[in-house]
Amino acid sequence: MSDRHAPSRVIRPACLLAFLLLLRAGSVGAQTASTLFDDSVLHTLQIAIHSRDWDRLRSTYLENDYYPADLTWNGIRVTNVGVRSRGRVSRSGVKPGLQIDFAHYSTRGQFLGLQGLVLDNLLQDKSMIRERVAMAFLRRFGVPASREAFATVFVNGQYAGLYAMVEEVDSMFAQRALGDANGALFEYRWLRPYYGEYLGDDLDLYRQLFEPRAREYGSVFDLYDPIRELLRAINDTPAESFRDAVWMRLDLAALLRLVAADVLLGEADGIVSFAGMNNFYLHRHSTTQRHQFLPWDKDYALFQWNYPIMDGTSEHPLIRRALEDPELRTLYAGFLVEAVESATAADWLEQEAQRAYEQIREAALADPVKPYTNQEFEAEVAVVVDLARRRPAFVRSEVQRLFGGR
Amino acid sequence: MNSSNRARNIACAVAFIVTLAVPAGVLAQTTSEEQTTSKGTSTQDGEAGVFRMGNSPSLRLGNQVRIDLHARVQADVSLQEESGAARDRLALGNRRIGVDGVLFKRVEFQIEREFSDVEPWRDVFADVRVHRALGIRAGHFKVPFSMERTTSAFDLDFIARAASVTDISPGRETGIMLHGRGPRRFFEYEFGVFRLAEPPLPPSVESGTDGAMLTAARFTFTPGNASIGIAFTGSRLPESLHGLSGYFDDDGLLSSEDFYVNGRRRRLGVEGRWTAGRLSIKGELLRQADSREGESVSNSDLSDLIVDGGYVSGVWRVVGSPRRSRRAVDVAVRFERLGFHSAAQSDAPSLGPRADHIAPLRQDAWTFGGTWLVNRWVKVQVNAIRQSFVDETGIRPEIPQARWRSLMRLQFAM
Repeated sequence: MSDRHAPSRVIRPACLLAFLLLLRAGSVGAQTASTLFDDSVLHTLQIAIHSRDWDRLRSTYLENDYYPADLTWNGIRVTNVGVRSRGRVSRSGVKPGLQIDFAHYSTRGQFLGLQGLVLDNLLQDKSMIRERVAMAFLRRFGVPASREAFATVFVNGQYAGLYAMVEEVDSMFAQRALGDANGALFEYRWLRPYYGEYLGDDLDLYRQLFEPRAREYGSVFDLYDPIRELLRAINDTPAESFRDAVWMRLDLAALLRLVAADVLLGEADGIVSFAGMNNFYLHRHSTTQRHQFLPWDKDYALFQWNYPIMDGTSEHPLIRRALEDPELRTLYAGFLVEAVESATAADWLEQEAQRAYEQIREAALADPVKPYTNQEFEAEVAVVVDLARRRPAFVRSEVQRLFGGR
Repeated sequence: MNSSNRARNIACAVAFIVTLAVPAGVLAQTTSEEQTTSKGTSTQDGEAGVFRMGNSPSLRLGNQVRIDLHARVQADVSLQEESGAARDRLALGNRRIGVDGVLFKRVEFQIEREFSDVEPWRDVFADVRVHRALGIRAGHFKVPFSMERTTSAFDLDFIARAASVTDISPGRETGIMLHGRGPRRFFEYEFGVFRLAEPPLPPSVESGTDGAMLTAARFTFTPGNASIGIAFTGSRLPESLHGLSGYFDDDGLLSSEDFYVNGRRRRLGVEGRWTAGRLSIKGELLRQADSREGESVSNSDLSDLIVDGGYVSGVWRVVGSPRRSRRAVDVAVRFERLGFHSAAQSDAPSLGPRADHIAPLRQDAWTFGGTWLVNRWVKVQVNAIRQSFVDETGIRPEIPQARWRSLMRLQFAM
């Protein structure tokens, strides 16, 4: 080739390289939170954390101290995120549940539009799939619920176990799921069996139970007076005006839809549970001022195929009184039937449980820090799949028995 | 190091220096007959006596022994009503008692104690003058770094030292120092080696600084009415969270902004002073670089954490002699800056304790002041200070608004 072709020898590879780089940049740029929570994929998360910080996090796993770390997912590295141990009874120094806060060290910190990410250590659920399948069902059923996907987590290059990546319930979530990032948001703190009784005028009693997760700096009155008034309305309003009085403060339809989904899932530790209300967030819309319950933590779903569908409702003033209202009772029965249909359409619930199991099986068996054996894992998965097969029919028959019709 | 060990070391060092110096002093002694004086009476300058009352009570034994007693106290009053009731606005500052003097014309010494539970012993040292060009000081005293830091808190132009001086300069440590000067003080040097004590407010997470050595050198040149100087320090830096707390006074702004450091700490200071008649101008530029070896999230090295700043100030003597005066009125103004950042500024800035690119923050302050030297013992100072903070990255949740503070200090020093 003559010298006059020399520039083209350089330009062509350069153009090719540039094209490839553009492709690469495009693929990175196309990553979104939806890609992160794509539950058809078993993701990989790499966490780089100073060796001593990791040791300290594990040795003081009951503390909420943050440590700096870098997080890598799909070739994207996020530097200087805050990591801390998380959970209540699921806290562990061996396989710690992790809270990733992208904004802990910078108010501008975010990742794919997220401010935080929860890494559920799947400690309480030997099948490891309950939480992920339950949340998927809730979303499918139209309940605003966190997105979730499994991930193998590597800490400083070493396999640290199988985790579930859970979308944090925060103002970003509220914007995505409810279209309202400016509302007040509270995480319910289980302190004792509490079923939603009116606690009196003292706002501190409500503050103990509802921990603000957005608009934390609002005054106590602004934050908690609406909750107090909601509970007063639930408990003290005469039956004939119950629906209207509560409806203006609470999205009752959304609540009943969520409870119906929980019933289908056999959830024993949710809003209607054996030991009072548990595992939920409460959102208050910034313009309508109406509250909405949001589900959280479904480790105790899908446990018992014949778990009674009315369990706990008699102790729960809100649900009990709602079901005493004929219109709301009919609405609820409809939601229950709809939940059954959603779960059984193309055997969705059973197929989803089976799919989740096949996706994680290899990673779960290789998980060196899970606190149960591989045999226990396999046996528990069988329980979940069996429940997914049998539970909808049980719920359908119970609805017919207790609510009649349909 | 515990306090008893430190006291023992200081005592040994002082004894060592005194032992070295006494023979020379003894050789220089005059006979006892030449020193006779009328005990218990005040005497005129030049006369040999026992007690004198100059700026402070003084014991003299001929011209071989001079021991001066000092007592000094400061009280600060906030002039802002929102600071609370008048009683709450009053705070006692330094309260010290001490002795200093000269033995046998060759050994200077100083012992000073603060009425405080935190670092009660201030200066405890002996200083042997071997030659004009060579002196040896040993004990517990200020590390030779920064013109303002090495100026007594009772002789400052403003109520408080510049924040950069307070934060960057080392304080008192135990060590030994060589020093001397050239003809007509044109050139002066100080070179010392110090053993770092445990900091009174421990920022350290893994180990203290106890036992680490610090080397310091300072050179000053004084051509005519001007003076310029340069100073360095170097020391090992055990792994610790470098506390920038206290950095921005009582706002506590940076109390949670700690960054891991490990390896070496290097300081550089440049100073200058110029005097013309009633006007004197001075300033300093100070910089501290802390290495962060093995402190990244992947246990690799991070770029240095740098704290830098400085000030420039001017003082105008309105009333009184331009030089030393027992009664005078000064007005003064100072601009100062103090900030921190990392050497690397490539990736996204962060407040993470292991961030390679630390989000910079700086504080600027103007101080306007007046000083009234009432007499040789009493001084009154008033300062108005405007502080502002600059977070160029805007990643902090909040930084304080610019604000004014005003203070008055009453000082008695004898």
